[in-house]
Amino acid sequence: MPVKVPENRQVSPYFMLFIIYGIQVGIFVLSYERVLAKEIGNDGWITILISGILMEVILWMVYRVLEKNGGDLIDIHKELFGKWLGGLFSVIFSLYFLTMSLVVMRTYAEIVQVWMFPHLSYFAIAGMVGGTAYTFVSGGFRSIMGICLLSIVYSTPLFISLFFPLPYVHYENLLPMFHHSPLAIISAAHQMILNFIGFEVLFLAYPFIKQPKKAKKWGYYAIYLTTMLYILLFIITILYYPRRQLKGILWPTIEIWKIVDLPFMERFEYIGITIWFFTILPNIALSLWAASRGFKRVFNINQRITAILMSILIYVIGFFLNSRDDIDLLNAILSNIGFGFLCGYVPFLFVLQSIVYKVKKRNGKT
Amino acid sequence: MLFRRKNKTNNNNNKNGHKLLSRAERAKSLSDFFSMMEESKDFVSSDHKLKHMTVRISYLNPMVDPKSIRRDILPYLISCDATKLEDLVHYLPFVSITHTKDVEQIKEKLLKGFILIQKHKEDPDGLLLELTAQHGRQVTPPEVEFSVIGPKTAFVESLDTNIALIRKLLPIPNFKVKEMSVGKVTKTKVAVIYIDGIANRENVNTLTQRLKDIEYDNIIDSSFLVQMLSDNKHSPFPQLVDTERPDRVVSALIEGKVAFILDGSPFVIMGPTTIMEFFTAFDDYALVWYLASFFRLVRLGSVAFSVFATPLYVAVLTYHYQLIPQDLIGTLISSRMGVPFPPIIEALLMELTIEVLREAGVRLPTKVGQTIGIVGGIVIGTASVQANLTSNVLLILIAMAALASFTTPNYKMNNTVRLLRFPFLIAAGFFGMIGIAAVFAILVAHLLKLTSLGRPYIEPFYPLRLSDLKDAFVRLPYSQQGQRPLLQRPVDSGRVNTWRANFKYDIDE
Amino acid sequence: MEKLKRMAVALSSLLLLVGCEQPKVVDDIRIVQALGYDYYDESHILGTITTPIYAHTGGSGQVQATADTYSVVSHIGRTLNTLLESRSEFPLEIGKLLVILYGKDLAKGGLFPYIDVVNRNPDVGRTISLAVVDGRAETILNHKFTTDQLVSAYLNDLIQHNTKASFPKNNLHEFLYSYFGDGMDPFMPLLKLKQHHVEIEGIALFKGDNYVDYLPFEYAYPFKMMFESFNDGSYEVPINRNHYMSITNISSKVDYKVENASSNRPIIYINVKEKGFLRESSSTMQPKQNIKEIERIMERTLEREGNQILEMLKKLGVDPLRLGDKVRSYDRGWSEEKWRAIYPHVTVKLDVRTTLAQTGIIE
Repeated sequence: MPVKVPENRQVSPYFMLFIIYGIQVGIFVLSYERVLAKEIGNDGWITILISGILMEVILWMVYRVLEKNGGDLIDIHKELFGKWLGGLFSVIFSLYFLTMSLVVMRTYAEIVQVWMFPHLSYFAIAGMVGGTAYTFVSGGFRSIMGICLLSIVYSTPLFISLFFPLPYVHYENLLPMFHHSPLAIISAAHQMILNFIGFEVLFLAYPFIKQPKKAKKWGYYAIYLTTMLYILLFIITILYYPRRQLKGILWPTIEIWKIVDLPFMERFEYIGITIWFFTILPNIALSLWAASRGFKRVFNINQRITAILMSILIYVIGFFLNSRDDIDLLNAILSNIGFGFLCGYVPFLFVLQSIVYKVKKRNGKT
Repeated sequence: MLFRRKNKTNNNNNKNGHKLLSRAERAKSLSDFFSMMEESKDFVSSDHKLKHMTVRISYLNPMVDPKSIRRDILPYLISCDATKLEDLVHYLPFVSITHTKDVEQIKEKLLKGFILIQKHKEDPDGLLLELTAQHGRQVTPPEVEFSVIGPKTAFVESLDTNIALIRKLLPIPNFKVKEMSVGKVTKTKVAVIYIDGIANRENVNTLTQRLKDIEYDNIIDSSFLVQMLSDNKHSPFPQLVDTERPDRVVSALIEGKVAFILDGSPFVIMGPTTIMEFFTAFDDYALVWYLASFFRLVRLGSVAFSVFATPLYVAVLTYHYQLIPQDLIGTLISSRMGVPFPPIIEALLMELTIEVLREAGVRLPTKVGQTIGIVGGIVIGTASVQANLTSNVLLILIAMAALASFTTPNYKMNNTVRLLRFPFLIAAGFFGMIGIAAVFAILVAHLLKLTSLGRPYIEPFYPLRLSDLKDAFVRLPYSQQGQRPLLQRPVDSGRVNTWRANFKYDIDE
Repeated sequence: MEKLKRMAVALSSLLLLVGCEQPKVVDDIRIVQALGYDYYDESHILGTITTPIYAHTGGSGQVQATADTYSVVSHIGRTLNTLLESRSEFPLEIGKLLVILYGKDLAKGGLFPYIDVVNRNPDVGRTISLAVVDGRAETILNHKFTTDQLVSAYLNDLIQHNTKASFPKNNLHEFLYSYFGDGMDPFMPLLKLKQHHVEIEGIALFKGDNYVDYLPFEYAYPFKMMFESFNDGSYEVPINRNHYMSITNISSKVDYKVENASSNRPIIYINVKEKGFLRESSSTMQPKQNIKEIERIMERTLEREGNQILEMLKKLGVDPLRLGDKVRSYDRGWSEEKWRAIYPHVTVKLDVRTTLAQTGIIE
C-alpha cells in the first residue's frame, strides 16, 4: 500500500519547480565555473547544456518509476527488493541526503570563514545554519516549500548583480568555439553533477504534491531554468576572467561580485554571501528533511527526533573536516555518489521496475 | 515546565470561579437571591399600591434610568385596572416584556439593568422590563486609526451602539449577529458577526467554537480575547486584526471575514487575516491606486528600515567596514571617534532610550507628553552626542527608525515591529550580517508556520496566490478588485459583475 | 522530546559563544588607503602606507582627516605586514585600499609578488587603481598636495577621472586580466610628481610583470581608441602648428578583424569609428566650411599616431592592446610561444573614420 499524505500537508503542483530549483541551486554555484573551466575552458557551456538534457531524461525516469508505484522510494524499494534489502537501500538513500546536507553546511561555513569571519569558529556558523535549517524542517514540508519559494525572491539581488561585470566582459573569450573534442566535453559533464544533484528528493517528496500529473511539467521547467542559470553564469564568468586566472580562483562567482560598486555600498560580495545563506537554506532543509523522512518511513520513528539527532550529527562531523583537502574530498565523494545515483541507480531502477511489472503482468494474464 | 505552570494557574482560576459561582448558585430560590442582593446598597426593592393590587418593583439603582421609572412605569401602573400580574403587560408602554418564573433568568437580567415587577417579594412569577441606563460615551472620531479622508466614526464601549454603527452601513438581512457571553465572572456579552452567504462557514464555526472554549474569569477588553483565540499564543505577531473603525469592519465583512464585538470594548476583532493587513490604512482605499500603492510601499519600506537600520549599522561598523562607501567612511569614523562603547552597546543604549521615551510619552497626559518628546528628542540627543556617548550618525538612524516604526497603522503590529529589532541587533553584534540573515531566516520560519483562524498568515506570498497580490504590496484599482480574497475562502467569490465593470464604450459612442 | 530540544538549544548557544569573531570596529582600526613599494637595495624593498587619521570632532559634524604616512624597509619575500603593524596603534586593515603605487625601479624587476599579495586577500576590492611612479612612490605618498583630500583619494580620483576622458580603462581587475590572459600584456598609468601636482606621464608598458617602457600621455588617446570602445572622450586635433581644435563627447567604437589567423602572417584590421562634437575653435578657422577637412585631419592624425604606437609596441614585443587574444579567438591552434615569435612581424591595419558635428553657441 503506497504512502498517503494528508491533504493539508500537500502543496500545489507548481511547487515542483521550487523543490527542484531550491535543492539544485546552492553552494556549488559559487565554484563550479572553475572546475569546469579547468577541464574544458570556454566550451563548458556545452557541457552544462548536455548535463541539463541528461537530467531532464533522468527526471523523466524518476517520474515513470514513481508513477508506476504511486508511493515513494521506500515503497518502491519494498516492492522490488523486499523488506530487508529494500530497507537497507532506503537507509543508504537517506544517508546520502545526510551527506549532502553535511557537504553544503561545511562548504558554506568555509566560505564564511574565508571571506567574512576568519576567526569565527565552525561551530558558530554551522550552529546558525543548522539551527535555522532545523526550524524549517520542524515546520514540515510546507514550511520548507515556503523557504524554497522565498529564497528565490531573496536571491534576486544576486541576479541583478550579474549586470555589473558586463562592462568588463571580453567576448573573444568564448571564441574559438568547439575547440575541445566532443569526448572531452561530455566527460566533463560529471563535474557539473554537483550542481544538479538533489532532485532525487522527489523520490520522497512526490506524495506531497497535489495532482502530481499536473506537476510534471514544472519539474522539467525547473531543470531548464537551472541549466539556463548555470549557462548564463558560466558565460559571464568565462567572459570576465581569462582562463588561466579562472583556474586559480576558488569561488569565481563571489569574486565577480567584487566589481559591483554602488553609491551606497561597495563590495557586494559580503552582501552576496549573506544572501547566499537563503539559497543554501532550502538545500540543507530539504536534504535534512529527506534524510529524516527516509528514516521515519523505514523505521517508523519520530521524524522530529531524527531530524535533531541528524543535525547534531552533521554538526559534529563537520568539525572534524577542517582542512580544505577534507572538504574537497567530501565534495568529490558526494559528486561521485550523486553521479552514480542519478546516472546509474535511477536507470537501473527504471529498467528493473519495468521488467518486474512486465513479468507480473504476464503472470497475471496466465 | 512552562506548560505545567500554565495549567496550574488555569486550575486556580477555575477554583476561584467555582467558589464564586457556587455562592450565587446557592441562591436557588428568589428570596435567597433577594437577601443576597439586599446586602448591597444599590439594590432597590419597594412595594407599590395600585388600584386593585400591590406590586413589588426591584432593580439595581445605578443600572437603570430612574427618570424613566418615574415617567414610563409608575404613572401607568398606578392608573391601570389590572388585577393580575400578566394583565399588567397590556398597560405598560413596552414592546417586549418578559414574563417568567425562571429564577436564573431573573437573576441574570436584574444584574444587567432590567427591572423586575412581582406581586410580592416571595412570588416567583415576575415581569422583566429593560430600562438600562445609557452610561457610555458618545460616538467620537477614531484616535488610534486616524485617517485624513473617510468617515470619522469610531466604535464605543457599548455593544448595541457598535452593532448599530455596522448595521447602518450594512442594510442587508444576511448580516448575522450571534450573541454569547464569555468570562466566568464578568459574563461579558460578545457578538460574532458575519455576512451569511459570503463568509465561509468554517471560519464562523472556528471563531464561535474558540469563543465558547474560553476559560477565564476576567474578560474586560477584546485584546484579552485576541491572545486567547490566536492560533499561536506565544507569537509576537497579532493574528487577528483589531480596528476601531466601522467602515473597516464592514469592508472586511464584505470580503468574507468574520468579526466579533465584545461589550465594553471599542475595538472589533476580525479574522482570518494576513500580515499585510496590519500595514494597510483606510487612506489606501481613498486615494487613486498608484498614490495609495506608493504610500503603502513607503509604509512597508519604513517598517523594513525600522527593523534593519540599527542592526545593519552595528554589523557594518563592527565587522564589515569594507562595505562602507569611500566618501562615507570618514563621516562614520569621525562621528564615532571618542565614543567609549562598541557599536552594539551604543545602539542598544540608544534604542532603549527611545523605548523609554515612547513609554513615558504614552503614559503621560497629552500635554506633558509633548514636552517629554522635546526634552527627549532634542536635549538628550544633542547632549549625548556632545558628551561623546553616541555617534550622531547612529542618533539619526535611531530617530528615523523610531519615526518609521510609527507609520504602521496598527498599534499592536507597531509594538511587534519595535520589539523585532532587538534580536536582530544582538545577532548583528555577535555575528554581523550572517547573524542578521540567520535571525531573519528564523523569523521567516516562524511566519511560515503562523496561521490565523487556520488560514496561512503570510498568504499572498506563501502559499503564493497571485490573485491576492492585488491588494498586498500595491493596491490595484477597483476595476481589478473584482474577486474577494482567496484567503477567506468566501462562499461567493465575485464582488462585481466583472463584464459590466470592465465594459468600455468605444471612442465617440 | 522537550528535554532533547532544550539540550540542543543550550549546547548550541554555548558553542556559539565560544567562537566569537574579533570585531573590527571602524574607529579601532587603521584603514590603509594607499600602498607604495620602492626599490631599496638588492635584497630589500621600501614599503609605504598611508592611512587617514580622523580628528575627534565631538558631534560638530565636520570631518577632518589627516594622512599618516610611514615607511618600512623589509627584506624581499617577507610581507610588510609585521613591520608595519609594529608602528601602528591599531590593527591595519587593507579592505578599503584605493591605490597602490610602484616605484619604476622596482617595477623593472617584476611586480607580480606585490600584486599577488592583494590578489589573494579577500578583503581587497577589484576596482582599486595601480600605478607606476617615475621616481619613488614614497615621495608622492609623503607629499603635501594643495587639495583637501587625502593623497590616496587624490591619486585614485586623478587616475579614474582620466580613464573617463582620454586614458584607457585600468584597475586591479584589468591588470590581472591582462597579466593572466594569453596573448596580452598589462599596462598601468605612469605617474610623476611635478612641483605640487601629480601628473600622468603616460602609459607604463609591461612585459609579463616587468616594466619595459612607457607611451607618453599624448599617445593615450589613440591607444584608448584602439584598446576599447567608449563614450564621452575628448581629443584635440592639431590643425596646424599653432591651432588646435577641441573635439568633445566623442563616442568611439573599435572593431577587430583577423585574416589568415592560423598562418604565420596574420593580418589584423582595426576599424575605429568616432563621432564627436566640435567645441572650441580659434577665430581664424571657419569650422562650418571646413568640417570635412577637420575630420580628414583628425583621421590622418589618429591613424599616424596609432601606427606609431603599434610600431613601438611591436618593437618592444609587448602587447597591451591584446592583439594576441584577438588572433587566438580565430585560431584553434594558437599558442603563446608562436604568437610571441610572430608578433613583431604581424601586419596591423588601422582605419579611423570620424564624423563630427558642430555645436557651440556662437557662429
